[in-house]
This record gives sequence, structure tokens and C-alpha cells, in this order.
Amino acid sequence: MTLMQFHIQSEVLQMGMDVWALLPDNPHTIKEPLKTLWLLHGGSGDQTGWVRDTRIEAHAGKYENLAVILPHAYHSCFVDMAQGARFGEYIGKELPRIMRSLLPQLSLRREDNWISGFSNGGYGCLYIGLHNPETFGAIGAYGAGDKADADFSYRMQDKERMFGTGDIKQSPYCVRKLALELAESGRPLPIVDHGCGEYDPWRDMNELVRDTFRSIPGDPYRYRFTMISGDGHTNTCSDRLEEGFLKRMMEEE
Amino acid sequence: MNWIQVQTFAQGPHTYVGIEVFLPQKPESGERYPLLMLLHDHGEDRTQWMRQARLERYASREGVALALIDGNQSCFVNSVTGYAWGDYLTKELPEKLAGWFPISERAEDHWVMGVGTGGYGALMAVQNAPDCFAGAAAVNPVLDVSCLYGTDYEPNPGYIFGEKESLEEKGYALTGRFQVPVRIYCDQEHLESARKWAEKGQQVKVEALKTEDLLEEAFGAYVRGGREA
Repeated sequence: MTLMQFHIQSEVLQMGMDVWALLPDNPHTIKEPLKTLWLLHGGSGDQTGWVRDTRIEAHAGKYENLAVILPHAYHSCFVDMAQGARFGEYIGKELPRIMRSLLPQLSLRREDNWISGFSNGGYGCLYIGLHNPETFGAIGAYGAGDKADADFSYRMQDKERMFGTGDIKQSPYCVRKLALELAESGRPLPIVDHGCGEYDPWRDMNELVRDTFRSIPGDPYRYRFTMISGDGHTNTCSDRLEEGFLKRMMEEE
Repeated sequence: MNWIQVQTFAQGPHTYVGIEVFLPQKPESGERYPLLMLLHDHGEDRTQWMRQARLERYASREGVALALIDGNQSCFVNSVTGYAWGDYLTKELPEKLAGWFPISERAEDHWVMGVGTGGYGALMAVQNAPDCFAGAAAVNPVLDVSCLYGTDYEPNPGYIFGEKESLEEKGYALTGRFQVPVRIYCDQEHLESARKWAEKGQQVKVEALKTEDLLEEAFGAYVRGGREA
């Protein structure tokens, strides 16, 4: 695939931002719009992480009409921070506008746009995907718990900066609450694909998210959970789960 | 402007290449921009133009997309050894850039400009493929590549052009007679010989550069009005 390193201006963040993208090598031969995977990095990562740490280019390169967009959101958990910048709005709303303008082949259809990530990016894609169901038709959240269930007792400043001083469970940062509310809202619902490694140290948090989706009558999110046996919270785990997500979206949906 | 660093496979020269792209695009404007491709000199790479000229200030004002491309040591022509850098420049790249980006796909919106051996490459591009460009410009171009033979030029020019005696026969000699408008920008050192060369030419104009910032002065002049016939 063709690797592109974008240097763009975000008006929402009021700063210059780096975005990487993987595009087909021969765009002029592709007639239909490109399906687009918006892929979020892990906690201390950046836009380069997926390309350096996984085989994402090989997985995505199997399909001729697929683009991968890799944004950078620094140490933000991809949310509109309670005491900081609006990274959630940047990635969920502004970035699709910018990238579709710079890459006119990207599909505008929600069915062709999927947001995914691992670890912090797994939480981030749930947060952004569930807040923007008109933009993203599917969410691939891996190694992904709900920050509302996380233990912040040893890092309160992190918690307050990102999620404020109150109870996260009662806030728009709680993705389990978001999933239940959105299911009742009448808005379009994304497909939710979820998974983690068998030995993921936060497996219990993944299972709380899993149980919430499974509790919704009629399975409106067409929810799937994949457990990778023998693996933990690792790059090999995220690689296999992302490969499975692309296979589901490109071949089975 | 938006700056995009592209790494992609180029079929012509059978290698991965870098391309620096600059786009004036604002979100949701939906425009498609004219394209100016910039070719570097011998011993340089695609970043020469952005390091030696403030490209963005002129290009954003004029609404022009830029592509700074690598030609390695090819002078941007198809070599006798089979590396098709010329095809990459004239056919493959404009098609791909208009495929990925909001760039016009029409030949009348495409220009090419080069410096030194890249200037030779830009002129060769419009000599060989006049249907692919609206015009070309060159800064202190190498107008006769036979001068590269027998010097310390690396690698041996024979690997690109073949025998010195057969340059004309193999199509590596510039005729000076163009089917699209050509501008040549020269400093004092190159001015006289370029003027002499252009005397018998067709559609070619030579202009003197006055400052030491050759690339910036030439680039500014070309995007601000030099492209007009």
C-alpha cells in the first residue's frame, strides 16, 4: 500500500496535527468509493503505532478498495477532555471532513466507515463510535474496557483531566451507559465487534462491556466477542483481532 | 497548506519513491486544483525545492497543488538500461495524484518545473509528452547532456543516455522547439548560453534571475503568471 504522512491544521484543537494513512497503490483504477478504517492508537502511542507494531498494512492490502486512517490524539483517551482539548470532536467530526476533502475517494456512507482501536484506542473507538453513529457504521474495539470501570485511585490527576471530578458512570464518558442509551434512541446503531486476549490484565473490564452489550434485547449492535486464547494485552493480540475485524467487514457483512 | 509525505511504489523505475505533496484544500470546499510538479537537480532529492524556496506562500495564494518528486540520478527520462522515470513523470504520477487527491486530472491543468538536470527533465517531459502538460519551466537547466560525459559526473551518463554520439538518435537531445509554452529562468552565469540556445527555438522564453534565491524567485515568477502562454 501507499503510506501517506499528513500534516494538517485542526480548527477544533487549534493545532497542527499528524495523521498517517494507508491508501491503495493505484487509485485511478478504482471506480467505487474507498471503505475506510479509522484506527486509533494505544495509551502511550501515536499515529505510527499500528504500522510499526502490527501487520496492518498486509491485512488491509488484501483488499483493493480499502483505506486506513491513523490519527494521533496524544494522551487524551480520544475524548473531549474535561480539563483539556476536544480530541473526541476532532476525530469523530472534524477529521472525517478534512480527510474526505483531501482524499476525495473516501466513502461518505456510514456503512463503509468503521472506527477501531486497541487498549486506550479500544475505549476511544467505543466512545467516538457511540457518540457518532451517523458517521461510523461499525466499531472494532479490542482490549477495550470502559474507563468508568477502571481503577483511577492511584492516578487521580489523569482521571480528572480526562473525565472530570464526578462519577464517570454518570457521565457521557461511560461507554456502557452510552451503549444502553443509544440502543433506545432511534438513531442508527453501529455493528460492535469486541475482543481481548485470554490473559489480558483488564479482561474483567472487557467482560463487563461484553455483558452490557449481550444484555440488550434483540442484539441490535450485532455484537460479537472474540477471545484470543493464550495471548494477553499485546501487539500480536491486536494484530489478530484487527485482521478478524477487517475480514468480517470486508467479506462477511 | 496541507503537507503530505507519500511513500509509494513507482512502476516506471521499479522502486519505492517519496513524494512531497502540498494541497491548499480547505475542508468541504470540494475543489480540484491545478498541479505543478517540481524536479530536483543532480545530487539532490525531492526535498530540494521545499528547503531552498518558500513554496507554500506562493502556492496557497495562487491555489496550486505541488508535487515534489524523486528522480534519483535519472534526469527524469527513461534510461537506456530500462528504468522508465520519464513514463513515471509524464503518465503514471499525474494519474495517481489525481486519483488520490483533489487534483485536476486534465492535462491543461498540469505543469512541470525543474532545476539543473531536473530542468532538462522538465523540458524533456514536454518535448516527449506535449499532450500531458500545459507547459514547463526550467531553472539553470542542463540544455545539452553531452556536456556531462568525460566529467566526474556519477554514475556514468552512459547508463542513462547510452553513447554520447547517439544522444540525438536515441531522443535525449533537446530540440528547443516545443508545442507548449516553456520558460527558462537563468542566473548571469547561464543566461547568455540559454538565450543563444533559445534563438532558434519555438515557444521558449528566457528570463534573467536577479536575486540569489534562484529557486524561490523562479518559482514565484512561474506560479504568479509565468504559466500563462
